[in-house]
Formats: sequence, C-alpha cells, structure tokens
Amino acid sequence: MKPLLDIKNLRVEFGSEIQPFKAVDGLDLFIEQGEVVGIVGESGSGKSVTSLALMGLIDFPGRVRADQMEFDGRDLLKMKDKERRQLLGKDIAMIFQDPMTSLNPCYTVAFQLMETLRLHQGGKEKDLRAKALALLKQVDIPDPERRMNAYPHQLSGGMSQRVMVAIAIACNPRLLIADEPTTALDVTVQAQMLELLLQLQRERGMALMLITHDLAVVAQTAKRVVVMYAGQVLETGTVPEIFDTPKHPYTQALLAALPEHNIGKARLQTIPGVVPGLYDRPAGCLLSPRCSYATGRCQTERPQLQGLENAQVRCHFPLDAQGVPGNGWQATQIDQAA
Amino acid sequence: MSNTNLPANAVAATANLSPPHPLIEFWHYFKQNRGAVIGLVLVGIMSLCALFAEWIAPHSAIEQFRESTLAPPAWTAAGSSKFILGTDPVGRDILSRLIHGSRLSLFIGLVSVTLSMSVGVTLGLIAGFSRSWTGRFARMLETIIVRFMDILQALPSLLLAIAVVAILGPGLMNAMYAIAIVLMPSYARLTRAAVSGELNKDYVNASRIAGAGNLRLMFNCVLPNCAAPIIVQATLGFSTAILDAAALGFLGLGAQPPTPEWGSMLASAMEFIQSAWWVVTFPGLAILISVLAFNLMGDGLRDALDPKLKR
Amino acid sequence: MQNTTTTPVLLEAKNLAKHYAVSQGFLKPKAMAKALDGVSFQLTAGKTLAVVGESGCGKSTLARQITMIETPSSGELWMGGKNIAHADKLTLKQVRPLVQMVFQNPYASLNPRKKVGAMLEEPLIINTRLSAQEREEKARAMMAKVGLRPEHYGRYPHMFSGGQRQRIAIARALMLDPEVIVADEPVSALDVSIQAQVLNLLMDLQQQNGVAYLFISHNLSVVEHIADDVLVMYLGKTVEHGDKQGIFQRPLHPYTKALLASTPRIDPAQRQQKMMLDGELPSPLAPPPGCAFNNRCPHAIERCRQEIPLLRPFDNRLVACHRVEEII
Repeated sequence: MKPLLDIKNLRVEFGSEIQPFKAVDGLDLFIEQGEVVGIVGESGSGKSVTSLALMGLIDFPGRVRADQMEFDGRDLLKMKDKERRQLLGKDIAMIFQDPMTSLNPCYTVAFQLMETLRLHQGGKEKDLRAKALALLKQVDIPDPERRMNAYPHQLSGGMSQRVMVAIAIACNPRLLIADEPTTALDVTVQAQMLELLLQLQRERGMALMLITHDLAVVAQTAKRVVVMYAGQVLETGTVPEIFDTPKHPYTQALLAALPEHNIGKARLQTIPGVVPGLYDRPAGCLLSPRCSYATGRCQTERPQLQGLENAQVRCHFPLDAQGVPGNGWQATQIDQAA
Repeated sequence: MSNTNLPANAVAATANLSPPHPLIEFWHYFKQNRGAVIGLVLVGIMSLCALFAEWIAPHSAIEQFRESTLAPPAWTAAGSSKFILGTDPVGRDILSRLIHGSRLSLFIGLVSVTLSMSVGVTLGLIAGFSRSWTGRFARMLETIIVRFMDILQALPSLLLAIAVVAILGPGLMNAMYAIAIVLMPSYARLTRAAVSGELNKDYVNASRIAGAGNLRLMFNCVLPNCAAPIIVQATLGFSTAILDAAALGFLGLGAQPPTPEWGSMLASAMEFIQSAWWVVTFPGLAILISVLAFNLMGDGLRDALDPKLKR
Repeated sequence: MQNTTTTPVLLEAKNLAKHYAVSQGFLKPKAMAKALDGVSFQLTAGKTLAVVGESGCGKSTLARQITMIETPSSGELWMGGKNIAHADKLTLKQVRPLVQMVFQNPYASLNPRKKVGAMLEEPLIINTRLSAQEREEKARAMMAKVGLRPEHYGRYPHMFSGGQRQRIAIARALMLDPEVIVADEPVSALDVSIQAQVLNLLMDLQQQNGVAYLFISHNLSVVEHIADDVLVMYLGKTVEHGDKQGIFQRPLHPYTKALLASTPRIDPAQRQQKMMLDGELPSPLAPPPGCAFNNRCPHAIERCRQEIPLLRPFDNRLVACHRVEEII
C-alpha cells in the first residue's frame, strides 16, 4: 500500500550557496497509514527542521529541496500556498514543545478551538461551540465547560498541551506531527500525554510522527524509529529490535550513555566531542571524529544508507548481533589510544 | 575507548574559528542601515566643527562687521564670498556663528544627557531592585520613585523647563539643568522595566549566592545587560536636548547674547523673516539637520543592539 | 536518613517551611501559599541527596532556602554548629561561601555581558583578598579541572554550547571551595551524550573534593544513577525519604510508585506496572484537606481525607502515609 507520507532525499539549507549550512542532508522518510514513527536525535540533528520543512514553515532564506515529498499522493513541493493552507490543520496537524507559547495568550481556549473548526469545516457558531466542547472532553480535560472560557495563562503546562492536542485533532487529521510534546512536562503528566496520544491514534487511525530526544519515550510508544545525527539519517529500525541490537555505533553509544544502562557503574559511558557545526563537518562519515570504531575509510568516504526498508543503516561497518562492527572491520585499523 | 582525532581530554571542542569581537559584530549590523550611517557621518561632521571651531570658522563668532550688516549669502546677487551664508542684523558672520554654535549644542546635549542619565538610571535601578528587598520602606521606595517620575512626565516638558529656569535664573548652565530634569523620567522608566525583566534570571541569583551586595548586583551585574535601550535613549536624548535648548534660547531663557546658540539666533532674527530670510533659515536648518542626524543614528543603534534581531 | 557513619554532617535542615502571601485581588484578604511545609534532612560529605518531585512540589523553594537567597518562614538550618535560618548579615557573609548552586537553565544562569574569566573570578573578588594574578591562576586552574580550554577564558557565554555552559556554571560554583552544592536540575536541558559527560564530571568532582550534593531532579533515571539517598516531595511536604536502593526497588508511598511507573524505560523488563494518576498537582493555595495526595491516590480512604499523615519510620525509611502497612 502506498505510504501516507513519502519523502525522498530531503535537503534543507541555510546561509550562503557556496558553503551552506545543511540542517537536513538527504533524509528519506516514509510513514504508513496509522503508523507511529519516532524520530530521535540530539540538538542539531535536524529533526525539528524536517517537520517544519514538511509543513512548509521554513521561511526564506532557508531552502527546501527534495527528490520527492508526497502526502497522500499529493506533491508537497509544488503545492500552491492556498492549497497548502487547506491541507495544514486539516489533514496534517502539529503540536509543539512549549505549550505556554504555542497558544495565543490574547484569546480564550474556545476561540482558538473554534478558529480551526471554522476555517476547515465552517458551520454555525452554536455547532462549533458544541464541537469544541466535545473535543475538550475527548482529551480528558477536567471540568471542560469552565476551561472553555479560560485564557492560556490560566492553564497549567499539562492542560495547555491537552488544548493543543484538541486543536490539532479537531479536523481529524491523517497525520499528527508531535515535536517534543512532552519535554516540558512533568513525568506523570508526560505519561498521561503519551497515553492520550496513543489512544487518539488508535481510535482515529491517525499516523503519529513523534519527534523527541528521549529514547525511552520512543521505546514505549513507537513501532518504528529513525535515528538522526547532524542532518542525516543514521539508522532506521523497528522497536524493540533497534534497542536490543542497534546496527549503528551512534545508536549503540546513545543507548550506552543512558543512566538506565549504567546502573551500578561509577561513571556513565560517554560519547566524546560535540555535534559538528557549520565549519567542522568531516569529509567522511559525520560521526567519525567521535566514533570509537572509526577507520581510515570512515574518515574519507561518506557512507550511504543501506539495508532493507525497515532496517537501514548508514555505516561502512554496521554492527552485528553481538554489537561488534562487521563487514570486514578489523580492530587494528584504528589507533588504540588508552 | 578513544580516538586519535581528539586529544585525550576531548570534551569541549568549539569551532576553531575565534568568534568576532562584539564591537566588530555590532558595526556589521549597524552599517547595514544606510540612514544610520548617514546620521553617524553628520554627527561626526558636527563633532569636528565643535572641536576645531576656531580653525574651521572663517571669522570669529562675535566680531561685528558694521559695514556688512544683513549681507545676503554668497550665491545671491548682492552677496560676497567673504560671508558665505550672509550676516545677521549686527553684522556677525552667520556661518562662523553656526560652527561655533555646534560646539554649544553638543555641549548642551552632552551635559544634559549625562546628568539626566546618571540620575535617571540610578533611580530606575533602585526602583527595579527595591521589589526584592525586605522591609516596608523598601517596597514603598519603588512606588515613590515611580509616582514621582509619573508626575514629572505629566507636566509639559517645555513648561517645566521654563519653570526651572525661572527659579534658577536664565543662562546656559541653568537651561541644561532644566533640560536634564525634564529628560530624566524616561531613563528611570526604561531602566526599571529592563531591570524587572533581568531580575528573574538565574545569573542574578548566582551572583547573590556568591555573596554580591546590592551595589554590585545593580551596577556590575544587571546594568550592563540593560545598556542597550539606555544607549538608544541617550542618543535620542541628544536631539531632544538640542531642541529644548533651542526653544529656551528662543524664549530668551537659555543662552544669552552674544553666545552663538542656534535657538537664540533664531529668536533675534524673527522680525527679519520676510526681509532677510537667511538670518532665520540657516540656524533653523542647522537645528533640523543635527536633530535628524541624532535620530537616525539612534534608530540604527536600536536595531543593531536589539538581541532579538540578531541573526 | 540518620547519619550512622562517622562522615561529618555538613548541613542539617529541620522542619523548613516557607509561606508566601499571595494577593487575591484588590479587596480580598491575602492567601497563604505553603510552598514548603516542614522538610528535614541531613547532608553528609561526599554523598548526594536527591530531591525528587514535580513542578509545584516546592523543590525550587527548598533550593532558595538552602542557598540563603530567602529566609525560611519557620524551621532551622544548621551549618558549622550555628542555626543560620535567621542569621544576621555578618554570619550570612561568612556562611555563604560554604553553599553554592548550579542552576537548571544554562542559557540564563550565566551573565551574558561577562567573560568566562570575570565570571569565575567574581566570587573571589567578593569574598577573598587575593591579587588579580592569584585570582586568574585560580580561575584557569578551575577551568582546566572542568574540561574547558585556556582560550575560553576571554570568551562570552553565547559562544558556548549548553554542555560547556554547564561546565562554566559548575566551575563557578566550585571557586569558593564550598562544602555543599545545590544542583537544580543541572542536566535536564542537555542532550543525552552531553548529560553523561556532565554527570561524570559532577561525580568526579565529588570524589575529589568531598563536597555534598543536593541534587534536585524530576528525571528518575538520572537520580537512580547519581544519588545515595532520595527524598520525594509532594506539595511542600516529604512523602518518602530513604536510601536509593530501597526506594527504587521497593517504593512504599503511592506517589513514589506512580513516579517510578511513569518513568519511561527502554528495557521492557525494567518498566513498572502502569499506574496512571488522574489530574494534576493541586494548587498550593488550596491544598486538599488531610493528605495532600488523597484526591489522586488509588488507595485513599476516609481517614486520608481528614487526617494529615505524619512522616514516620517504616522499614528503614521515612514514609508519610496512613496505609503504608496495608498496601505493600
């Protein structure tokens, strides 16, 4: 079946043409109908920029290019602004990280909910109001009648995020993009929010694209994971295989750095160095300056994404089931500095 | 588990480029605004005139040439190249008086702005900080200062300046005190607003925990972070000071003759508007251009210093 | 927990409480928000006490009391044999260098207009009489200790990444050689790989200097790694307080259980039974009668709605729950 979202070779660049900053550098992504996909990466990985590019929210001077960017068979690249406005909020919806700044502080909750409904569905004021109330009930907001007339600053973080979700699902979108939806929330509220998102996803057959830096959140909610680093996709895989047997050294190192996997040890395993910026992008594999398995080939030749559709990896020596680099990798190929 | 590409303690690797000096970065943003650069150039010319007036001006500012009273500008039929912009009713060269007058205007601007800024900013700092001090008096302090500033701002500025000069007596120095008082509330408000915004930030608490006292917190920690709007206000304050001094001079309450202050030059020439237009026009133009220059420069400063516009 | 070994107790808090008067409007009387309502603990050298709780539980208020930014409304704070809760200015000036803080937001906790060197030397300028050269030497030595390079001395904060800024903040906290460091969510804003680096740094420094940490966090996986003892707070009160192993393996208080159950885990075997809590933390202005947790607790009975549970010893720990014996 044709995927709901199909992106091939997405590139988003900022800055000069001669030496652009590649926020996203060749991303392939597909999402099936009703699937939950987690996009994982640290800051500078390009995961938020991907979602913005998808929604057409990257302003000049950013440049968005792709070989293919289709949603439900429709070409997102060539879409006119008017068409795009009809699509956004209706078929594709998005919720953002900081609930306090995502809602307009000057308007009540009811107004903002009804605005979306009015734009895409129209109808009489009374009906819109009733629909808005029903939406608030669907997202489990306590005392929804009173909350209808509340202003955003009167709501807590968790409550505001629920209102955001209500606005996002108002027109029954086919795809919901959630950009770090729980990062700013307390852990019990986070659990409630994730439960809510999954419940809505099941009930409405909605596809969910969950962008986060929290691997554990992804492990508990997503079916498929895409790991990004410095604008590139390094590994894709299904849960739980990708966490049990990661194929890319970066995924392995990320998992090893989690406190969860270092219980009882005095020190956490770390990844030395930092994410490359504009001026220090390596010629070969982007991870090579920080990878403990890097060889001469890794430093000079940029690896391509290889593998089956659901388990791809961008590495010259992908890890095998024991976590050791395969494909003819020799430990003697790197210098062992103590 | 390490890699030869990194030194053994590789933990904090910044880009190898050394970041630009803040002044260079500032100039880069400033020069993108053409109006601001024009303003800066004009202010520069004015400063040069003020500094080197004795050497630039063709004549003295107070020497009266009795044979050439009300001589028209050089390019008209009856003009001569001796007096490029003509002479005033008493025979003084207008160009020389304008050039010497620039020194006065800049002096007025400098003194008024410095006075009003130092008092206004201090009051604003105290008002902003007093909310975090304990004690009933401290809380009242903020209200007292703010209401006092409200009252000052409610009075029409020129009337207030006239009142001050009426009490202290006419003269350039007293005019400057009056202007300083009138300009002060805007600094106090600005500073207080900026301080309120900064006080919630953690770095202030960090300095408190390190043991910093109130004085150090106010002037060393917080004030540098509020500097941008104050600097912009100071530049715009220059133009306000020049205008106010001209108004006072026009009313005969500021600089006294024969001081070549632009405003008083205008006042003494009012009756000649029809017959000798140059006596009125050129001082007026000087005021206009200098005020415009400072405003343009101030706008450019505001854009260049605004952190939100930083790319 | 009671100090049973001979390691010195550096700081002791007894029933610390902080109330804020909140104005309700023009003519209405002021309401009392009990942000902190009777918290006690001890900090021993070289050990970490983690304070766990969600927003509104009072942990930030606690941090402000311990670092003497605010004076507590009631309770005692013992350091160096003196009760400094209501100390005068002179005593405060002497005690301040002993307690320093690392803040949560690396982007707001460094003065944007000060260079790194100046920031590190500021505590020395205020509290010591060292010469400019001596101060610079100390600052540079500290920079090397936390993993910063010498050329960073003359740079401004905006030129650094989040992880590097936290290193600067940690260096600044250590300049006065304090006995206690309050770390308020120091790694919450950092990426996973940087988080690991900074946590390692904190633990190394603790081993070298013997400093005690009061580690405030809502991230239980981080707490499980770094803490020796754990104190769980809810609406200004302690609900459970004990050693880390005990609390993580066998949480007693329903709120602790809920927190652990809500923490996402990669390994399915480590995930605890799902225990969904309804609603959110009540407002400190209108706490529920009786046990503050009763309106969200699955085990609440009538007694919980009427009587505030006391913090009492149970099974080598302190718990504030009426029904703890029955619900384990």
